[in-house]
Order: sequence, then C-alpha cells, then structure tokens
Amino acid sequence: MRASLRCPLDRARVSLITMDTQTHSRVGILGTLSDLHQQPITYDLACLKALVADLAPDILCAEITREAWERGDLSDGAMEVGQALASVVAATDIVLVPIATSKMQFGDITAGSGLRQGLVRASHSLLRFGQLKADTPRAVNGMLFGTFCHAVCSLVEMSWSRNDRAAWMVQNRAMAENILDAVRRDPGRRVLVAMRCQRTHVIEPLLRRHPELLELVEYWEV
Amino acid sequence: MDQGPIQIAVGGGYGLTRAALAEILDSQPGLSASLMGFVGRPDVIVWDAEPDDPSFTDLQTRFPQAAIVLLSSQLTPQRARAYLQAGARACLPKNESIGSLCQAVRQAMRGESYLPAELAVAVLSLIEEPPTTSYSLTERLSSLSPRESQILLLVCRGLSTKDIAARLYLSVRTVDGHLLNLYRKSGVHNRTELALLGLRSGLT
Repeated sequence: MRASLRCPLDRARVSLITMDTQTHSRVGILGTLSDLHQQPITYDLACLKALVADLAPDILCAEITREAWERGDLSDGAMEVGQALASVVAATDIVLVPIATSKMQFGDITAGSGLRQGLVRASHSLLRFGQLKADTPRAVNGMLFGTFCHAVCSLVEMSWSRNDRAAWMVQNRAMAENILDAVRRDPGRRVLVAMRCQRTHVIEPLLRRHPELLELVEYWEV
Repeated sequence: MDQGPIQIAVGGGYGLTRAALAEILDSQPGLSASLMGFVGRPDVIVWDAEPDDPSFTDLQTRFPQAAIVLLSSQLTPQRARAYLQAGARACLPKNESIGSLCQAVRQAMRGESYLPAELAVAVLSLIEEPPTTSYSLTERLSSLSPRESQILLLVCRGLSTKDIAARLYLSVRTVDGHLLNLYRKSGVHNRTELALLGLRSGLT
C-alpha cells in the first residue's frame, strides 16, 4: 500500500498514523554510486537529492564519520554526503546520522600482485559499466544489478589480502552497528541508509539479523 | 484641602508585634494607626502575614475599601506575586526599614502598588510563569528523564528543534515528543515558558 502513495501528504498521513504506534523502525537501504553520480546519468546528484527529499525519512544514515560531520568537514565523508545529502538535510527536517568509522572505501583497497591488480582493474571497469547501464535508482537498487554487483565485488574481494578483507568486514560491521544504534536510540522511525552499493551486500544481512529492532524494506517503501 | 491622617489598622502576626507596629506607624507624620478592631473604616490595613495565613483572604471581603499592605518574614517573589494577585496593594519583607513601610502605606493610599526594588525585579521576571503552578520548580524538574533534561538544557541555549535533533542524533519527531512531555511535566504551554523555567532553575 505504501508504495502506491505518491503524494507526499498521503505518505505523511500514513507515517503519522503508523509511526506513533509502532516501535520497529522501517529501514531502507539506498545504494549510491560515488563519483558516477556526477556523470550524465539518470541517477545523478540531482536525482539523489530529489529522491531523499521526496522520501523524507526521519533519519538518514550516511557515510561520514561523526567527527567529520560535527566538525562540518564534508570533504572527509563520501562524495554523496558533501555534494548532495548535506544540502537536503539542511533544507528539511531530516536528521543525518553519521555511520562511517573511517574514510576507507571499496576502491581504496588494492590487490597485491600484478595479476590480481589486473583482475581488480577489470572488475572495477565491469562494475562501472554495470552501474552506467543500470542508471536509475530503482535499477541500481534492484535485484538484477544487485546480483551482478555482488558477483563482481566478490571477485574483487577475492583478490585482496586476508588483512584487507578483514579490515573491510570490520568497517562494515561497525557501520551496521552504528545503524542499529540509531534505531535503538530512536525506535519506530523511518530510516534511510544511503551508502555505496558495494557495501549493501555486506550490511543488509547484518541488519536482517535484528527483526526485533527493525523491518528492512525497499528504499522507496520507507 | 486637608484630608486628615491616613487611618491605618494593624493586624495579623503576634500581639506584641502588632502593638509595636501600630505605635511606630502612629508616630509618623500624616499617619494614624491602631490595632484591628479599633478603627471602623481603615484606609490602609497593615497585615503581618505569616506563611499560609488564611485570614488574609478574608480582609478584602471585610474591608473592601481598604488598601492592604502585607509584611512577611518569608516573602519570596512567588509569594509576593500571589499576594498581589489576591488583592494586596503592597508587600514588604520584615527586614525593610520603617521608612519603606511608611512609603508603602502612602503609596497604597494613593492607589499605587509598592514593592521593594529587588523584589519588584524578581516578581517582574515571573510574569511569564503561569500562575497556576502549585508546586515548586524543583519538584517540576525532578520528574524529568535524563533525555528530557538534556533537551531542556538545549532549549535554554536557544537551539531549534531541528538543531536539538541533529545534536542528539534523534529525529525531529522524537524531539517534538520529548518537548510535549516536557511541557506536560513542567506545567508550561510553550517553548518560551519552558526556556524561562529552565533558566530560573539555573540551566544555561
């Protein structure tokens, strides 16, 4: 029913009716594309801004560290935060909860040997190609692209050292814990998690383990 | 035209205090003072009001023409405001000088109100406080949860709801909910009253 509520006023009414009586937060994950949002694609920065403003979640979990956010240093967070999400948050009642624990991104991790580096470069190109093909938010966050992205990312992760894989997992677990903290602190709210699509495969299963706290829904159903 | 001395009736408190007050006032130029019951239609009643003295409320009924000047040993701004609202024309703590008491009597006779300067400032600052509050500030704030206390502090610092939400990483709706609870628990009706209440309790 909620997906059919196109009018923001209708959504607000439903939100008022449902949110004051429930203690489970509705959490949706919105995969983002990093610098690709600056490309002339449908899912560009303006689209990302409009999407988040239209969804108007109570809380927006975004990839920036708490320290950087409180300092107002947007350059220290994901590009999407500084160039799109921060301005939406400033202009609306949405509250941004920083969930990053460090600046490390998927693309920052490099493979060791030459052969592996070649594999990673090829995989990144493949992922970029896929992202450009699936250039709408629905497509990027859909099952088809999700499966493709997961497969490519898994291939890349296999080329990493054990320590790098462990560090990637530790960072994602910490981010999932920060999301859960936000939900525990403020139950019964509409929470949108905007994060790089490479993380969603890791973090989504971690959030699904907590049905007592949250209901994981599609981002447009938040 | 000479209207004669101001007729003062002195009442309330202890007999010795009443008698002393009457003697002192009677010795002042332009004043004529006696104990209650010895003046038929007093212009001014000087009443020694002990805390929770119920007889004060009867005075206005019994002497509707008289201006009432209250003396109290425990005159807090809240109590002074309550006395003024109940119809007293002037309020003085008992540690004021006889000159102040005479001035209060004369001003009350002219239809003016009188409060010592410090007390007047304190009473003025209470104007925004709802007069219906029947329990103390401390009692009102002691029932607040840690989160509500935190939000009250930020309200006192002038932060908007959105700013408070952003500072505490809570949704605006949640902060709104806490604010409603704060209004209810504190017995106030809006943010301004809440901020004043917090400031009076020493929050900054």
